[in-house]
Amino acid sequence: MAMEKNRKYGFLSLLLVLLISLLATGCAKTTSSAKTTTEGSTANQNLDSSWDSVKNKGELVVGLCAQYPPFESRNEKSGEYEGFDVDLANAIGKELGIKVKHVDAAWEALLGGVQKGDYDVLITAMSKQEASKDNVSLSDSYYNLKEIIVVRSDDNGIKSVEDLKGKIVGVQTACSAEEAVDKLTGLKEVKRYNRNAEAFIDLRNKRVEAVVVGLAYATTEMKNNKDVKVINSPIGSNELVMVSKKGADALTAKLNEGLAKIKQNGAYDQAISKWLKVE
Amino acid sequence: MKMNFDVVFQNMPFLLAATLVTVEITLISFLLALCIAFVVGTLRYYFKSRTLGILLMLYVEIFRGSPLLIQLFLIYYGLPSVGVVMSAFTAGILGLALNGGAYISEIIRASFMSVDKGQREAAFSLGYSNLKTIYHIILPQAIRIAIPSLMNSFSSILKDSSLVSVISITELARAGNLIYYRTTRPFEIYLTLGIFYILMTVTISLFSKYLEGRSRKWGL
Amino acid sequence: MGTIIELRNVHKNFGELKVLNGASLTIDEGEIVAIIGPSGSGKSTLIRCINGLENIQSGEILVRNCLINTQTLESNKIRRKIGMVFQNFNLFPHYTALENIVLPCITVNKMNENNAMELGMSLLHKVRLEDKMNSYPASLSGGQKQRIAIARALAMEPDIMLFDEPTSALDPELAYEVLDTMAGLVHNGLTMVIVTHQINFVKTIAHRLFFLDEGEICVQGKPDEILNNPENDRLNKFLMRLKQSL
Repeated sequence: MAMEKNRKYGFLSLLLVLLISLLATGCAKTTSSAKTTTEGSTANQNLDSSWDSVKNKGELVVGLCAQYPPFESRNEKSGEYEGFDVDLANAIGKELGIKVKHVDAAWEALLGGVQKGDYDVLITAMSKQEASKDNVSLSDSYYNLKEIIVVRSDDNGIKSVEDLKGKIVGVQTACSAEEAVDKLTGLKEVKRYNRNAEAFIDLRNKRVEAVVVGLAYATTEMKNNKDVKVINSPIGSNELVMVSKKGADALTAKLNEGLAKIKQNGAYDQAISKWLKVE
Repeated sequence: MKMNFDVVFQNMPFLLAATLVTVEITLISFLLALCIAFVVGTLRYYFKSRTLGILLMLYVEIFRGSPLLIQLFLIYYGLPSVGVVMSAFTAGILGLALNGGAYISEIIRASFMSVDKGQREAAFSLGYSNLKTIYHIILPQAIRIAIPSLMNSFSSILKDSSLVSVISITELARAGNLIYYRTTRPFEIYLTLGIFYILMTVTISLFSKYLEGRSRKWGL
Repeated sequence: MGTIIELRNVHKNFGELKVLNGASLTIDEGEIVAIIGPSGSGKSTLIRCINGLENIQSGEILVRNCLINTQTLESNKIRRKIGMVFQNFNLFPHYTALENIVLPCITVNKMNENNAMELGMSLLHKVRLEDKMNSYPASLSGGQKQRIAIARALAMEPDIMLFDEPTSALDPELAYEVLDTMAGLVHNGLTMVIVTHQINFVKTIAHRLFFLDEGEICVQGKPDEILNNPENDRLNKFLMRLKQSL
């Protein structure tokens, strides 16, 4: 019996020691790191070769999460990437005289990946808010995306944001639509999904009354299915930007250059009318 | 970046509410899984070659052999296309219970096999019916043998419960993720999550030791 | 006092291995009978067939003129009146000594709880273990366990008691207390069938003796006659080997 008690205390104290040592190393790490966090800072000489290294490589690696039509998705038949962001990236690449390679990844992994260097830039319908401001370099905004409400076609009870009070609302997690929803008050419940597609399944099955999502995604849904409709009462709006890692100012400057050029020469408008025309 | 646990303390009510969800789902799923496992394990032990035995074997192989994630997805997002719509809470518990039940039924079956054959013979000689033998003689001994493994399964289900976040339930792990997205303070948040989970599993371990202690007097 | 147990040409295999090869015998009510023989001769198997723990391939086993190797209501009723004591005791470890004796009565025979307790206490007294009534089997010695096992079997008020090498798992000093207990049962009119190696005990207690070798009854008769003048070759060999090991 005494042995049992000793073993129990021994185990608990080992746990305590483990926790304390974890905390200690955590503190040690943070006090020894001396990274500053000011934006637009004096970048190292190394990092400003961002555009040069891309040029030398001969291609621009663009990261995206191909699950967000009409900005980026996979064509079922051809297996190719397609969407507004894809066309935008290709057009800018053409202007800059460089090949563009798209790489698909999970949404949650993109920011980490661009900082690691897996991608040169993210062009994936990411808003200014979604890209954490501290360790990234953001391009000019290339589109203003509104968040709107989607309900079932036969639902006439919800006509505006106000009508969402007391209702169950679905939204994709870790994106700007979620932040917009969290700012609302009086909702009965917010259900959070990994992907918009799942939120829409629940909308159709009456497990949520409304879904908040970007306008472009919603209109694509509506094109394919008549059982949902858009309430064009915007809840929020987002500036979409191209995201590179912190210090890649040269690359960002080039991307802005490219963006400005395609806005002038019509390639931009072409992409808009192909993918983002809202009826 | 300095460490700042304010983030954790500010969100503590949210975290505690999510912990409650995790505990609720884990407890109910485990109890349901136990019931399923007892029935399946007992039947499989006594009906090896008949149709029922084969059906039950299929259940165990399917739910043990496929990922819980896929099972949850199918139950919650897949079933509606054949007309079966249920709440996320129900789907989560159903998925965890069916999955856990499959694993636990094998524990039960093994514990039956490890009860000494002589026990059955003694009961038979005394005139116990099959059912009475199971209930009075075999089960009590089998359960004692199974307790450490059962508590282990309890712990597993606790950690598996974090998967129900994919069917829109905000349990503890998802709650931690949400705070992380908003504040980008992974160390403080995930350390806190780790501590919460460890506290829960340690509770289970202590409970297990208590149960084992109670059965020590029988020399098992 | 008629025939209570009868085996007619019983054959039993375990897979390919032939264990009982046309065994036949009769036992009268109230008789105390011992079965001896070399290991592997089928002694345990024979006695286990009598109470239905083993199936037989051919032949007949009758208890009170009723075929016992079936699942009829009658055969089940008769089987309840056969008590069995095992070499490895097989006590229920999660019951106390008293519970081991009393609970089967309550559960199977649906005896009233008070009556069962009375019966239990009197049986504990008979095997001289009243002070162990609340002990669990794990804390009992081998001899004590076997005596409780005997009391447990007696609680069902059987007509026939089968003993499958009851002292083979015990140290010699402990064997004595069990054999003593068994001797104490002799005057109850109980039919007893004992499989054992304890030849001396057999001499003192048994009315008749069967010698089983390679699945058949080779010799049977009164213990004195057979053991003092073993005419049969195989029996002779067996007894010599036994003497050497003592």
